Order: sequence, then structure tokens, then C-alpha cells
Amino acid sequence: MPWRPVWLRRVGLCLALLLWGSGAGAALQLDIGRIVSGGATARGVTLTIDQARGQIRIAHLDVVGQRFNNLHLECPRLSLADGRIRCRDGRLRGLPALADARLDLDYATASQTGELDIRFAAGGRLVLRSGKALGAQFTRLPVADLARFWAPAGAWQPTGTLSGQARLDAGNLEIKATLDAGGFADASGNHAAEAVVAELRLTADTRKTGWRWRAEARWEAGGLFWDPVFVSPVVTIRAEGQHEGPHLDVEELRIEAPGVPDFRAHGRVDLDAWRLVEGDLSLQGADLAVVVPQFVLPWVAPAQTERWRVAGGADLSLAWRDGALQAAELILDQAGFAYLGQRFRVGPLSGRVPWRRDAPEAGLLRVDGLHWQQLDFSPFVLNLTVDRDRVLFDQARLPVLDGALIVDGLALARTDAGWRGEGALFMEPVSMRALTAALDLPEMAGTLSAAMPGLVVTPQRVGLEGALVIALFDGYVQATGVEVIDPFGLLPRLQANVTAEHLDLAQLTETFSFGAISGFLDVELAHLQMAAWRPVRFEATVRSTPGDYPRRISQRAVEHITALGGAGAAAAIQRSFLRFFNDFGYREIGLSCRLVRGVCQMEGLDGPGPDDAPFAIVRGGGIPALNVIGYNRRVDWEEFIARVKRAVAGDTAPVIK
Amino acid sequence: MKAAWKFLMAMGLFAATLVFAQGNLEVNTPAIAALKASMADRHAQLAPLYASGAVGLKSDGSLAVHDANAVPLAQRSKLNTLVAAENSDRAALYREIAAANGHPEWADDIRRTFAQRWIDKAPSGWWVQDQRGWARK
Amino acid sequence: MKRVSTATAMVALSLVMAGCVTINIYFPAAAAEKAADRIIDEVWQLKPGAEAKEGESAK
Repeated sequence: MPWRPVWLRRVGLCLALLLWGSGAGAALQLDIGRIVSGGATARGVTLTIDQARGQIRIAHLDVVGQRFNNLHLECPRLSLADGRIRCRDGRLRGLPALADARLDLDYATASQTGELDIRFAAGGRLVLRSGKALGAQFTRLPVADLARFWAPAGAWQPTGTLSGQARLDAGNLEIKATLDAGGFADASGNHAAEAVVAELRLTADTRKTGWRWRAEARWEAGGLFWDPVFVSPVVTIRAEGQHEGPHLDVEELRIEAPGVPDFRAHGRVDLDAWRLVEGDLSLQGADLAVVVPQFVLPWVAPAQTERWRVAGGADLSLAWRDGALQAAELILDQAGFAYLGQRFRVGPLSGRVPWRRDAPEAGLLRVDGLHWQQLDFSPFVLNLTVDRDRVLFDQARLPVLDGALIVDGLALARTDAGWRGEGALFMEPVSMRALTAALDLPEMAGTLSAAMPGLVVTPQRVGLEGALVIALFDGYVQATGVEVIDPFGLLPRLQANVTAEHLDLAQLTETFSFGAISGFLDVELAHLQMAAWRPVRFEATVRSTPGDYPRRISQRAVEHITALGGAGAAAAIQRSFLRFFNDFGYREIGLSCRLVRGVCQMEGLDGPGPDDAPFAIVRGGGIPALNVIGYNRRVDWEEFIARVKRAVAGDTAPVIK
Repeated sequence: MKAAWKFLMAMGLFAATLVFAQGNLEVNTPAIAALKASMADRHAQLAPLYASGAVGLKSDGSLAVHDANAVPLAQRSKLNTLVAAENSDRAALYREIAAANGHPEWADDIRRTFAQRWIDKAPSGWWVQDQRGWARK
Repeated sequence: MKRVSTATAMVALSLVMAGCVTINIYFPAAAAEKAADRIIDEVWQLKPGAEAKEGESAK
């Protein structure tokens, strides 16, 4: 508030004029008319003295753009003697901010020095001294009362008290103040501060043109919420610069705050347009565990703030020129990110990501760990180019298990609908033995590889054009149209069309301990939709691979298949003469299941039929031949899976031949 | 003639099952279950905020901060993230129900239906929004 | 006589089926309201037995 001492000086001048116009004596009235002094104008000034009592009236007072009407200082004891004007216990009417305050005035005309002591009803005290220098001393001065002098501040309901001193001497201003129990709040509560304790120090120097200033603040207690960010102390701010015309030049600004040990900036602000014209800003050694949840996530992903865990350090520098951000650089030091517990984890991550408004810049990220679901990737390096609003990644090889994932030509770009990534994904073969071990699945032989030239990543979906191929059980499984919906949401869903050809049933049944079946299978799994790795919808068809090969099915496998139809069926076989055979011949296996809403609608070898019509699943052939007939075409999927699990788990005893 | 009767009876039964199917919307998918669980979890934190008036129910089926002053300063950032997370779950829920029933274009109708039901079922004392603005139930 | 009743039945049944088709095209407001109520009860834990009840009615 640099205007306050200026205003004081003007009051001093007024009083001096009043004194010259008067003489010591009894009842006396002086009409002074108009007093003009610098930016202050008082019109209709009248001084009345009757015995000890006195009144000073000012019809209009204009000070620094504000007009006060009908001011009226009433003094129970006003004395004009010994070249001094003294007013004790005065009351000022017409200025609500000072309505309850008591004023003591003592002014010496010869030396033109004086003192105005204002005691506020709330307990605050302001002592103003004018002489060669202007001084002010204030003790527990209510901020709310001060704010009444500036109308826009009223909406912010400022609270707290200020104690300290101010001094204006030959163009040098010095203010030292302590704010206690400070705060403010807007009506919505979206911008507010409470219980703020802070120390402020401001020195300013009026040069030939403009002000040269230096400010220091130390915020020690309380809290500030500025939607959507909450900040708490200890924060220290030091700044210095110049103020001239519409420009505020900040030569140096340094901030230390929790998680932000070293923030520096300098630049020029256009106060009329309230914008940064040019400047440089640097943040060194930021603690991401503090800064990201507090400042970054509430802005960029408020809904997911609780889901991310962040660690590590970062440096950030930004450069503004001509009112626009021109260049930026982010350096990550051993940063780590985890999403939704441990589902996705990356780090330690170190490197440098630069950006320039007018030219591409090359950056690099070294990823020393990447973990997704149950897969761990070995360290890898990402070379990237930031080209304005696009990020292009060079080919990167992400080693996983005994193979690697190769991301080729991935480009991230900002579009109107958020960011979007495009590229290609290939896979150097990973052995199924390693993969199944990593995923806690029964061990399988074979290899997994992928060639997906059309990878599309957006926040809503990950789409993969091309094929994921698993060489498995002497045949292959191929997935096309792979798509992950809502990959960063609560429940990512997978869609794909899967076909498998020539799967060796002998290996398959052995892997899953399902007895022994020889022969080959073709499988088609169309419109597969999975959520949380469980199928929600598909149209599946399983058929014996056409061709000439031995087809046998063991009694144990038959038991398992029949057990899927419910308990009791297996026992029936055990009781019949069939128990004398170890295995049976078959001609064909065929089963379809259309899963919708948790119910599997089954069909056998002969296609669709009424719900109560039996359907053949295994058609016998050879000696002895065995038909497996299903009776229930509508099967609850959860129940079906539970039965498969029971059947597999129950297979503890080996098949004795 | 008899055969025609039988056929029609069978068709009639089929039609009847269709009518029955229309009686319920499919809401038992893993995605909907996950969203419900996430929202029920969050409700423990949101319930006191509804009661204090910090959070209110909007007429478009989402939540909004109604009076941040009802929450201690240090919790207000958390208040915003709770509201944002709940709104993201709610939007996903409306989308999921529409998708689970094979009609993604129903999402807005479902949102409107829910908006009305959230407000109807809200206990008295909670803040709800109608055409005229905020009101206390 | 028999002929007449058969014809009536056919008309009635085709009406039923036409009705179904109509329901299919438009948004099932009543069903949506019922689904909303069930989900809201669960999320707000308004009824302790909401979960069990839902299992039954879904069947």
C-alpha cells in the first residue's frame, strides 16, 4: 500500500493550512474553501473551535482516486497553543472504516511535524508521524478495516491483523509487517486462506522514473486453497525489480516451498493486460511425490488424482518471449509412476524432454523398469523428438522375458479430442514357457509373436491392427482386431477375434490335466469381449481339424466331459460296462457356445436346435465308439467354469492303462 | 389349422419372453459391477459431504461442489478430486448400461433417468439442483 | 365358429408382437428407472438387502 504515506503527507499539509488561518482563542470559525495538494483535493473545509471543543469539517476529500464526502473530525479537546495543534480523543464521522476509532492529533507548525494516533475499536493502533520523513507504526491493525478503503477487497472478506512499521523518506519506502491470523475467502469458498502467519518486508525507491522495489515474505503457518490447489507453508519468497508505467519488471524471484526447494524466475509483466510478456522460469530438484499430487494432477486429471503414486525428482525450465511460451525443458531424475496400486508401474525413469515453439528438439528417456500386470520389462532407452505438439519416438526395443516388444515409429499428437498415438508394434518371439510361468498359468510349450502395423492409442482405446500369433500345441492361435477399451479406466476391456488351427489335443489335455485326448482341434472365438480378464461375450466354435489322424479319447477325459454336465453322469459311466475300456475312438468333436449375459447358448455337431433337444458333442467311431450327448443347451457360464475347474482340480490320480 | 395354432402359440410364448426381457435392463456386467463397487466405496467419503451441503446433486446426473466453505480448507482439494472421480464413474456407468443393453445411443436417456432418481432418492437435507437452481431437500 | 376364434387369436398375437417391436425401438424408461433404483440403492447402501434382492430379480 504505497499510497498511505503519500496520503498522510497531504493531511499534514491540510492541517498546516488550517493552523495558519487561525489564531489561539475562543469561539472561532474558519472557512477555508479548497485545498489542493498533489493528488489530494479537499473542498469546503471548515474549522470551528469553541472553548476546548473543536470540529474540522471537510465537504469532499479526493485522495488517490477515492472520494470521501462530509468528513467530520470532532475533538472533545482541541487546543491551539505554543505553535501546536492538539486534538485528544477525536472521532472521525463520515468514514465508516474509522467510525469507531479514536484519534489523537499533535502537530507542530514551526517544524511541520506531527503525529496522528489512531486507536481502533477492535484493539488495533496506527500511529502516523509526519516530519522530514513520514512514518507509520501499526499494532494489530485489523486487515478488514484497512480493506474498507479499497472496495474490491470487500468481496474477499479479508481477516487478520497487521503489525509493523512503514517509513517514507525522500522517495524511499520501507515497510516491515507481520500478518497474524490472516485470511480471505470468496463466496464460493474456492479461493480462500486461513490462519495465515506471515512476515513481509518491502523496500521501494522512487527513481527518476518508476519504482525500484525489493520484497521478502516468509509464510509460516496457515493454508491457502486456490481451486484446485492447496498450498501450505513454509514458503519463502524473495523478489526484486522495477515498476514503471504498465510494466512490472521482476529481476529476480526466488521461491522455496515444500517439494519446491529452488524456484527462480525473472521477467516482465504487463499489468494492464495482466500477462507475462517475457521471462524465464526454472524449477530445480522438485520433489515429484509432493509436487505432482498437489499441483499437477488436480489440473490435468482430477478424477484420477487418488490412483497415481509418484516419486523421484524433476527440473523444469520455461522461457517466455513476446507473450508466449517459447521453449520448455523437463528433466526427470529417477522418477517413478504407479497407477492403480501396482497394475502399471514405470521407473526409475530418467532423461530429458525438451520443447521449442519453432523447431523440433531431440530428447531421451531411460526407463530402468516397467511393470504391467504380471510382466516385468528390462531397462530400455527411448529416443524421442518433440516437434511442437507432436512427440515422435524412435524405434524402441522393450525386452520382456526371453523376447522383446518393439515399438516402431510411435507418434503422439494432440488433437481436439485429446492426445492420440499411432505407430506399429512388433514382438520378437517370447517363449510360452517363460510367459506362462510369469502369468502363473500351467506351463505350455510354444512361442508368442506379434506383428501389428496399426497401433492406435487414445485415452479411450488402444487399437491394434494386425495379428498377434501364438505358436502353441503344434498349431497356432491368432488374434486379430485386438482393441482395449478404456485402457486407463477402472476396468479396461479387451476385444478381439481369435482363431486357432490344428491344436494338438494330446498336449492341450496334458497341460490342463484333463485326461488324454488325441487329435487336433480348430477353434474360432469371434467377437470376444473380456473385462478383468474374464470373458463377457463371445461366439465360440470348436471343431475337430479335418484330416486323417488317430482320434482317441480316454475314459478320464470322457468322465471330465460328462462331469461338466453335472455330478452323477461320471458315476454312471463308472458303474456301466464302459469302465473296462481305457479309451474310446471318436470321429468328430464339435461344440459351439454363444456367450451373452452370463449364459452360454450351446450347439453340438448338428448346429442349432430347440433348447430341450439333445445335441451331440462327440460322435463316436471305431471300436469301442462313444457318443457324448449334451442335454442342456443353456448353461450358466460361471457355473460352467466352476465345473471345469473342479474337473481339472479333481484329476489327481493318473490314468492307469 | 391345428398346426397353425401350435405355431402361433409357440410364437406367442416367444413374444412373451421378449416382453419379459424388456422388463429388466441388463446391469450385471463386470464393468457395471466394478463401477458400482468403486462408487459404493467412495460413498463413505461423500455421504458426510452431501449432508453438510458441500456437495450437491445436479440435474444432469452428476455431482457438483455446492458449498466448499462447508469443508476445512485443507480438504477442499480432495473434495474436488472426489467429485471429479465420482462424475467420471457416473458418466462411465451411464455409458456402460447403454452399451450392455446393445444401445450405446441410450446413454443420455439413462443419464436423465438416473439424474431424476438420484434426486428423488436423496434424503432430506441434501442439496439438489433443478431448473431454478440449488435447493435443499 | 372355430375359424373366427382362430382369426381373433392371430390378430391378438400379432398385436402382442407388434407391441414388442415398439418397445424394442424406444428407450425402456420404466426398466431404466427400475435399474437406476437398484443401482442407487446399492451405491448409497439404502437397503441392506439390496444385493441379495438384485440377484433374485435378475434371474
